[in-house]
Amino acid sequence: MKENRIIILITAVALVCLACAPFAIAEADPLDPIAQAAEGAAEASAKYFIVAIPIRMWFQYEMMYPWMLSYGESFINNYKEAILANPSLLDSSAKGYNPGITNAVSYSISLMLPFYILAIVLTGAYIMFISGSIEGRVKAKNLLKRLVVSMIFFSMSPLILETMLVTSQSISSAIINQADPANVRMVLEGGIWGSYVIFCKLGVTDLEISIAYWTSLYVMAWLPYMVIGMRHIMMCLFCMVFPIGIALYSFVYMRDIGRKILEQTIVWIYLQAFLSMAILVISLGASYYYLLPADQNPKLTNAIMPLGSLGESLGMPSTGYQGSPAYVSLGPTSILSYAVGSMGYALLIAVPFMMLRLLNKFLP
Amino acid sequence: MKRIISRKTRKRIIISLSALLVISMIMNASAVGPLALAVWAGVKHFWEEYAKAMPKAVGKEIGAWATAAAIRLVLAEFIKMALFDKFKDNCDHLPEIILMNPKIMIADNNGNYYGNPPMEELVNSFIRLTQPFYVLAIMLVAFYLLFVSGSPLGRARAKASLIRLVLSMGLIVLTIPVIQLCLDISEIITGSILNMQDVTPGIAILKGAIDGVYDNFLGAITISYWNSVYLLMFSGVMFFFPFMLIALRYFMVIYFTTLFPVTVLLYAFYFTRNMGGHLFRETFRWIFIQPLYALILVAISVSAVSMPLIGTDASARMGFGLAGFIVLIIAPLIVVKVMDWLAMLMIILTSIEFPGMHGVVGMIDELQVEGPETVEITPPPPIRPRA
Amino acid sequence: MDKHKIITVLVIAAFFMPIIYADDTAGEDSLEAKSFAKVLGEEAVKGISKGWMIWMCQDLYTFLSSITGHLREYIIANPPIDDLKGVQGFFIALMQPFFVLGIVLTSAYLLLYSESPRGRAKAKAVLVRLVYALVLVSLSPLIIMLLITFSSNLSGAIMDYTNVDSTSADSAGGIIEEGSGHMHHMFDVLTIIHRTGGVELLLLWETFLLIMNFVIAMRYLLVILWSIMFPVTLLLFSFTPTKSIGKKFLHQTFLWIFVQVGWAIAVLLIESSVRGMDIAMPGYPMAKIGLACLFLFLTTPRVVFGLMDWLSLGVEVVEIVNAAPLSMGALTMDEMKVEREVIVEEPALDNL
Repeated sequence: MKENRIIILITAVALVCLACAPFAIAEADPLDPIAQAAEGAAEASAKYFIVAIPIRMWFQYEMMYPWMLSYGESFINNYKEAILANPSLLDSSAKGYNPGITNAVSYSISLMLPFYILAIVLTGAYIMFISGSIEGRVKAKNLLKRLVVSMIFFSMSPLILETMLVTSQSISSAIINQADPANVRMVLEGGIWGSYVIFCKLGVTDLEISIAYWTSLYVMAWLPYMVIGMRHIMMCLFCMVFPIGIALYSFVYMRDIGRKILEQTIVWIYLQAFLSMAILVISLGASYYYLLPADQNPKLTNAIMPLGSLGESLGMPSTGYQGSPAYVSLGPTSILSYAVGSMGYALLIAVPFMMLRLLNKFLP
Repeated sequence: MKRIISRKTRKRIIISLSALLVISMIMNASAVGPLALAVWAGVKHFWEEYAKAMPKAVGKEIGAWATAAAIRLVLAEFIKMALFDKFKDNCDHLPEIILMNPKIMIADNNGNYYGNPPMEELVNSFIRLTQPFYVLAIMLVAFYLLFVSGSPLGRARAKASLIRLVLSMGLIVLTIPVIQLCLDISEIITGSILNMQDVTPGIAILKGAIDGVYDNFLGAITISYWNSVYLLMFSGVMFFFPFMLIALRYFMVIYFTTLFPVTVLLYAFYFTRNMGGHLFRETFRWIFIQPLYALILVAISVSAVSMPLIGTDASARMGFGLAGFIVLIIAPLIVVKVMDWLAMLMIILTSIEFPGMHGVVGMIDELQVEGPETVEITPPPPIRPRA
Repeated sequence: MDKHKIITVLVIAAFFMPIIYADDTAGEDSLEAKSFAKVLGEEAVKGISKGWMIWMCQDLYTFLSSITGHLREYIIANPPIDDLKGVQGFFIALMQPFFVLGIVLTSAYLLLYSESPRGRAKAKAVLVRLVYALVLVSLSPLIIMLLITFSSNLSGAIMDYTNVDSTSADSAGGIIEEGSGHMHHMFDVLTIIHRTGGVELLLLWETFLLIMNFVIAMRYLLVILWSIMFPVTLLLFSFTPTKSIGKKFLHQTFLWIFVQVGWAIAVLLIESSVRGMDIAMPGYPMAKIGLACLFLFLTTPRVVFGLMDWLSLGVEVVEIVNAAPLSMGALTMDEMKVEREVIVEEPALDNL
């Protein structure tokens, strides 16, 4: 476990410091200004350079680089599977078979069925035995028709839900197969690795400067999964309540609530199509790279030694420290790829919420 | 761009200083040699002393860093015990917390139900508050019916108001049993929803998210204390909010119970009907939000079965757990119509807080609070007579 | 060994560690007066660190503020239509069955099933509207191309009245550069004072410049989204039940395509007003105007959409800047140290 490793490391360091105690070196002569200056310089360089910079570089390259490879790349590697997964209500051999939803749906059906039966019986009794006005009888007949029709839909709700889920999956799959995977990977990687390059570059001198980019790494790694998970949970929620929605839609007094439930069910199921459309847009957005000619597109590397060609001649390449296998030479990030990559991630969250706001009140 | 010292002035300073140096060197031509030797000796001495002082400084610094890291690890462990383990405990007890309802009526040993004395007092005081308004309302309506010859519509409305006022007087007396009835119905529905499905997978997902955030927090705090504060703030907001909202519901139910007589009065009287209806809707919304919480928890457990990539990918697992928390926070708020999806999302994203206290925390970190130095004061020797 | 035991041992060791290095010489933490030479040595090395920070952030500044040199290309940028045509063809192929079904059903109703004249009139109107919609949907790539080219040409024409291409001081790019450059210069100066003194300012100009770049990229991606959804929009607009949604989608499409024109107008406003201001009020701090123009550029789309009025713009600016007073206070606290001198007693008079 990482914790144990850290604890052992710190114990070792503490023991080494304890062992060095007898060899403490004498203080500088307080009357010698040069010695004093040297001592001050030594202390400050120990504090800010010799100890702090290796620690920060270790954090950036030893701890965050493997994190980037596993967490950061996770969505880019698995986006198709994550977006296209849908629960399956009736097909027990399918991958996402979810007996829980089917149970809940049957439960709510059995909950509402008595009300339906009661309503039909009462209306029938009214028509047959209680002879009211003509208007009343016409209304009752219409009500009976509507009740019977909605009861048919009501008892077919698992089938209706399964149909909607399957059609949503096939539409989304058709849309997402239009997207070029190489382009999607290029754009999204430009966003997250660009953020990482800027984090490495700024973070060597002081970690506080690079907090914004470090936090954006976490946001970019988790946000797509958060959106997909939210859609999944809300979809399951509304699938469970769907029969009640149909029932309420047909009773006049509760029509509003029923309509809301039905609308939300449809919107959350078909949100998958909008998520895949976002991926398609991301893949098409790779054309943003050609906005400026390549020589005018400013680039940023994680070079911490701004020595350029002088550094090269000294054996220190300007794209990172290549001495140890742990430190990576990170390629340059350009402003265009960074901007469109970050906005690609933002699009994954903006598109579903935009559609949620636009798509309401569409049922009669 | 305005600089502090403009280019021209800087150039002038450099030129004049170098001219001064050259002039002094020329004038003390004999002093150039020893000057150069002295400078060289000084430089050599500087680097010697630097090399001598370096090991001690490095050792001290490493010791300081190791101490700080050890203390930070201990702090992280304490934070885990104080916060993250409590969050996980809360998640474990989530079904019980959801089923919590304020006790408006309590039972004694013989099985008699009576109103909880503090609630009774509160409600009775509100009833007493509304009494003069009732008298006033009935008098006004009666006056209107008897003496003012209004339109048929007005008279019909007044008659309906009168009947409603009288009926509502009866309803007000039964405030506590009525609310208790609603709470019982809500509790029964909630209980049956929770029994419908095993909620342990959902709770496991939520706890997985807490574990993931703690792992990242631990990795960050070994390097820099203040960098990890943002993860801590985020986790505080995210993991604590649902329980805050459930507790809020508890208090809102009590609040609306005490307000119930006023609600009924407002609904009965024609002119204030909208206000009364609004208050009625709010009351029932807050009471019946309990089944919604249970439904959300069941939905999280149900969807945990078919969510992709949970078994294989740690990032996906954490993302889905966080999504569960977001849904627990946002969905009831939308039902109670306090917020829109977009507004809540913006609030969550700002809890990660990019622009903020970075420079402040950096400076506070390097700020050293120095204590007073104690000096031993020896008393002056006594004044002796001259020998 | 148990983890808690390890931690206990470490804590105890950590408490004893300072004793090893306890000496009564002047380290950085003690109150004893440090000699001037020592402070000089320390500050020199700290200065290297500060200079390094400034150099790194200068790189970042050049990277992020490159947008001001290419404002024209960024504002006119639109996705290439050829890429979009293929995807739009896919959506049109998706919509075609619905149209065919609608036309077939309506004509079947007209020919075979018509009862009242009113029903027939309604069916005829629906049929006509379906045919119009079918024509429009098949032409949707051309319509989108028309809209995008029109918007691009209009913003280009508006920007022809300005000299936005250069980065001289009286072009829009130069003004925005001056504003953000002023903040960057303040950051440099504050960093020289204290290593972390300028971090808020860094966040400030970094956030603004990042948002500037991001907003343009976001608009580009959203134009792609609404262009490929245009057939769906037209379909939804032509059927009565879904007309409201279609109207909303159409509204969004037009808005996002024409934000370009809003930006071009903002550039024109910046240049013409600032040019006049310099003549009318010489000596006015132009850097602050530059900042204001930066805000204008950032918020134009949202004002165009009506999502934001000027009050919330002010609120948002205050929120971004909210930490500045705190940081100044902390900086003052840090640089101020209360020093007490060692109590020196008067020497006893022992030869009275």
